[in-house]
Amino acid sequence: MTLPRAALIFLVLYSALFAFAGFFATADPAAIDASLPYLPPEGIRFTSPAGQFHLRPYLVRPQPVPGQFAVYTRRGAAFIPLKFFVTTASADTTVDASPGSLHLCGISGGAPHFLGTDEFGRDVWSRLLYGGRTTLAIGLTASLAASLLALAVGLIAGSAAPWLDTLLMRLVETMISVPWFYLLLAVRALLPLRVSPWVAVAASTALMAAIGWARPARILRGVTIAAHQRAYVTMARATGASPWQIARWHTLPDLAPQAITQFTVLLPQFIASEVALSYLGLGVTEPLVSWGVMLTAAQHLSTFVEYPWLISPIWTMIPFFFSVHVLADRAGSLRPLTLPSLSRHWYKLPR
Amino acid sequence: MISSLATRLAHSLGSLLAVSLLCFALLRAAPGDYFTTLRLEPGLSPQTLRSIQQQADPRSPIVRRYALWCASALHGDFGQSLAYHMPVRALLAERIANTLLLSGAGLCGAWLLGLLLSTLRGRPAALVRLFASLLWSIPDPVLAFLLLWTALRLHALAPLPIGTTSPTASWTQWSNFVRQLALPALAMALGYLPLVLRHLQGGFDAAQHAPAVEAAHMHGLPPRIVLFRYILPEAANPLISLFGLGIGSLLSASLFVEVLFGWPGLGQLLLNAILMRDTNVVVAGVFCSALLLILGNLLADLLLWLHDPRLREAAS
Amino acid sequence: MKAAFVFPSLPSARVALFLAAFAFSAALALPACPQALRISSLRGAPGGHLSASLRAEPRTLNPVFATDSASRTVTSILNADLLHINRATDAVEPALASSWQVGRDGQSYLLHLRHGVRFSDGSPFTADDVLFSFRVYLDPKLNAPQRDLLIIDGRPIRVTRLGPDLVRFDLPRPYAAAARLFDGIAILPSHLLQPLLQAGTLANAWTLVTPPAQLVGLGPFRLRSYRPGQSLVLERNPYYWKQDAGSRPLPYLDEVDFSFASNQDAEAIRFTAGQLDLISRLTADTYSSLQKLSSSNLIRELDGGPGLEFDLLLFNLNADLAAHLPQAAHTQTWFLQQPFRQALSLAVDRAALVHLVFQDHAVPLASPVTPASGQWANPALRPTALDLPSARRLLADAGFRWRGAALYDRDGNPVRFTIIATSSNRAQSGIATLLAHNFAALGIDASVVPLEFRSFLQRITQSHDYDLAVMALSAGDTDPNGNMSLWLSSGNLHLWNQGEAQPATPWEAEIDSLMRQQMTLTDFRQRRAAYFRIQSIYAAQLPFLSLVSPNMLAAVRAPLAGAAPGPLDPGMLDNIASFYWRKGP
Repeated sequence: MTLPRAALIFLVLYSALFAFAGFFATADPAAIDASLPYLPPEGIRFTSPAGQFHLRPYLVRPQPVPGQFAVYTRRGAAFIPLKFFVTTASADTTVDASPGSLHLCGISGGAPHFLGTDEFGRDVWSRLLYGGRTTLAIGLTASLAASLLALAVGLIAGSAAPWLDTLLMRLVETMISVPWFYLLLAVRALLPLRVSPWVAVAASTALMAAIGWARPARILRGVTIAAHQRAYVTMARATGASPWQIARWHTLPDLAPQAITQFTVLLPQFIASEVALSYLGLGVTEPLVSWGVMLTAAQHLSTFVEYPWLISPIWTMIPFFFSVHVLADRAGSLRPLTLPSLSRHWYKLPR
Repeated sequence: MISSLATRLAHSLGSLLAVSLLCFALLRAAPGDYFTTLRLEPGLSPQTLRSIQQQADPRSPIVRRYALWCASALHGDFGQSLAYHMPVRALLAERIANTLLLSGAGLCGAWLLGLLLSTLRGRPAALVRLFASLLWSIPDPVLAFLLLWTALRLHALAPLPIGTTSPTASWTQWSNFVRQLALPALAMALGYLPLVLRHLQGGFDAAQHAPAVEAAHMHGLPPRIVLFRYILPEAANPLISLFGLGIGSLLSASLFVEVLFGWPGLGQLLLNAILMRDTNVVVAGVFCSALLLILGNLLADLLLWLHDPRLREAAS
Repeated sequence: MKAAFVFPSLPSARVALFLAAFAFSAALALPACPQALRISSLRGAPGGHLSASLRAEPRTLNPVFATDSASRTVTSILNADLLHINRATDAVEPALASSWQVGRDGQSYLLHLRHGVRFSDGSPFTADDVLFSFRVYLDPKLNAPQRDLLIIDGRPIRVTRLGPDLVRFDLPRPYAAAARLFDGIAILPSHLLQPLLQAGTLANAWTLVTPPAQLVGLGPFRLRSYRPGQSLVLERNPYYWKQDAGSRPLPYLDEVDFSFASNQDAEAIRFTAGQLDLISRLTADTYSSLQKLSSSNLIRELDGGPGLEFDLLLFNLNADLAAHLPQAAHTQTWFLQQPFRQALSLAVDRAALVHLVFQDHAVPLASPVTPASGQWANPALRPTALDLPSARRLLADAGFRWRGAALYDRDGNPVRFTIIATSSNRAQSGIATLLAHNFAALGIDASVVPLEFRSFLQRITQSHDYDLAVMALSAGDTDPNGNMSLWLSSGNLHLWNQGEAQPATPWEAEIDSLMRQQMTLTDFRQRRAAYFRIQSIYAAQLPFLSLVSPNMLAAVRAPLAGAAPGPLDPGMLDNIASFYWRKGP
């Protein structure tokens, strides 16, 4: 099997995990359990405490050491039989999984913590799934919007009148120079204090798209200018094709692979900007979870030294972005980028 | 050429003005100001607070403030910092040098590593490509974070200095400095590497099929000569542009790395200044990085112009 | 000398004798040798270098204008005060003034200056420097932040020179524990700064780029060099006026360097890498991870117990909401009801806060007077324990009803509000998350809104656009006088209802009068009774919820002796003059 095909299959399966987060999750991602802070990942055994083999796996829950904060021991660990296809109890009100919804697995009287718990005893595995759903939805939407915007701007700048080109490129320069994510302090003040989580998601998506388009637009403009040099464009122009036709039939196909590449470049960047936004109180907020929210809490030294399972979003996002990237490579974007130059008129053939 | 340069510079001046005005406006619109924390100073009466504020930063219309700032920028001192009670220029000078050092080291590292890796052919090249994809799919701050994490894990084996100390002797100062620079510079280089690698590999692949290169091969020239004499010039145009972009982003690319590794550079100063609403510092810092961005592009275009006779011909 | 001066605790007959003896010994000692302050319990080893760090770069080295914590820390080491509060015993002790006397009226203070003391450039310290310093602090044009502390009832403290080493301070009215006012008021060299004051350039003097030779003080260390963004190096002041038991001049250390760490993590990494010798003001999680990070037992962790800082939940009780903040005005109708505030207090699980957010390195609080205030804290008040049934009863009695699990007020509105917190402060956002979780148990829909620090403060102090806020405050002093601005209805830390022209409620009026009353009393018991009463009123009314007081956590390299966390500024570095490195194994 070739790498791109493997990536595609992996991506589909992986996305299903996040799309059906409610099914694969084992607990309410916002549920606090004050008795189990920083519980390390729980193991799964197919042997009973007595050492006999069982087909039904056991969850091995370490026991807290009395008198010490967040210290657990495997000695005297509880072996809890895992159940499959369980329905949540009515009291368990998840953010969006209604009571009585189906889960892949669970235990009676509590929730399994496959990836341990965070500072407030919240289940990391469930937060990872729900958070991934939010983050990937925001990231994909914002990247797509930003790439489309960049495509439009790049195409216009690369083929329109020189004054418009100059204007757009100076705009891009301005956009790139300003550290937006830290200067958007005023935006939070414009929103009411209590915003619904979905408004917060929409706002951060819009902000990311509105800021992220500039860099790719500049590259796509360069590609457009290069495309205009090609002989078939000259030919089309000679036969009297309108600028719109040239753009539609000649430039755009040339630009598509590059636009896809830009999309994959933007995607990981947006995850990082989510962390910056949450610092300003603009990003996703509790009770909604996102990888940015999880990593903001985990970026402290003590966390990543003592409780490495809390940086699990990192290990989760890398394979995802990697397969997206492999696929994008496959889409034929492996060609050198042509970058903007002093004056595009030097490139242009005389009309 | 000269007149084209002049118009280009004039336009750039426009975007510099726009950038600084935008920063001014955004900071002015932000809630709170530099004096907000003084409101929690026990025993400081509102009258005193008002007169402190009036003395240090009189509230005047933004246009007037901006004009004053422009005047001070023309004088080269960029006004006074509210927090540090000193001219912004003195504040910026050393940090800009620090940041240039860090990003410069990162950039050079990325290019050297990139050039080295992209000369590989066959199976190693495919591995390099895979490695680039992997690097590409890790967000830059996460990459820096992972590096720090690894360094800390390894710390039990070999003490690894992180951040800067105050060195005393001059030679140990330098060796210390280099050792302290290594990790953040590596983080910068790895973040920049995939972009460089992709351009180099793509450029070389395309140049392989250029008539001049094929002819050189057919004449039986040794591969190294072909690489340096024929392939590199053929693939140079996009690389020069990329180099210019890299120069342009020297001041702005290192924010996360600086904050994470505690590197005393412009990024950290700028971030703190934004959080403290020290307007003159922010605007001057952003102004400098915008200026470098523009100069970087200009440099790239000049290099292109020198390198590519076609461009010179088209221009004349 | 018109006022009769007595030592407050000594009978007058013995005073006369003492004074005579004092004058005699002083006359003998004066020409021979400088009169140093001897610390008789201290026997350390001289030499060595200390690497410390500051959480931010100091913004100025001018003690007159230092308002941020980093600048204050450094200026407090470079300078000295006339009288100093001993951080361990909380008592006022002689410093640059070798002794002091209080007039019978409690309004005038006579300070005998230590003679033979020299500034770090070798020039002598005299009463003129004291006069000059207070002229600077009181100068209305300079707006020194200390100025308002030295103005009592709108009238400044009057300073008179009675001799080369004798200064009298006249207060406009009796002022309890006025000796504490002198702590932290740095004495400036008039021979250097006088010309600048006359030229009007004092405000821009002593910045970070001032040449070290021009930065002169009376503190244990003086400036050697400064590298922007990187470090500040101090060297031993050879003219310092303290000695140890063996008459060895202090400080022991030859050099102290401060590097600037952008955050606590960077600081902790450097500490474990051996680049720093001490770190203080640690959060609980950094404190607990230090042991795991460092491979050996070379470090010593210090838990100084609760300090003067406390975390609180602030109710927005400001009176100016109705006009332009309808949303906040709506939620305020609940907060204005005392039973509602009481119910919220009963719903807070302070034990869980201490356990989860502070990893047990904190204590639950009953009032803003933390245990570090010693005998000023009212022992009759106990921290409220989690008690949901009582909370529900209080709410039901106040007319609140439940529909399903959700709480509704008398008019049928669902009870929902926001809690703002500072996003960069992990402990405070953690507290907010847990509080929202606690309130959910009462059927209240509380959502946490993290905000950037200055945006947060702007809402609290200026726009008043918030419902509830989690924040931390620190008492200025263990003495009640240091907390005037919190208790007085006109004070700037009276955050729950700011800028009251008149006390808004009878109980606030009572607190105001008690606070003013204790300020003029000289009897400790009477003052304490008044302060206990204030705390009881607070506990009954709960204008804000005092949640927990975090412990003062620090870590030092094991051989470093003399360092201990302290509640007052500059914390651990206060007695840096007596830090020394233990020799040998």
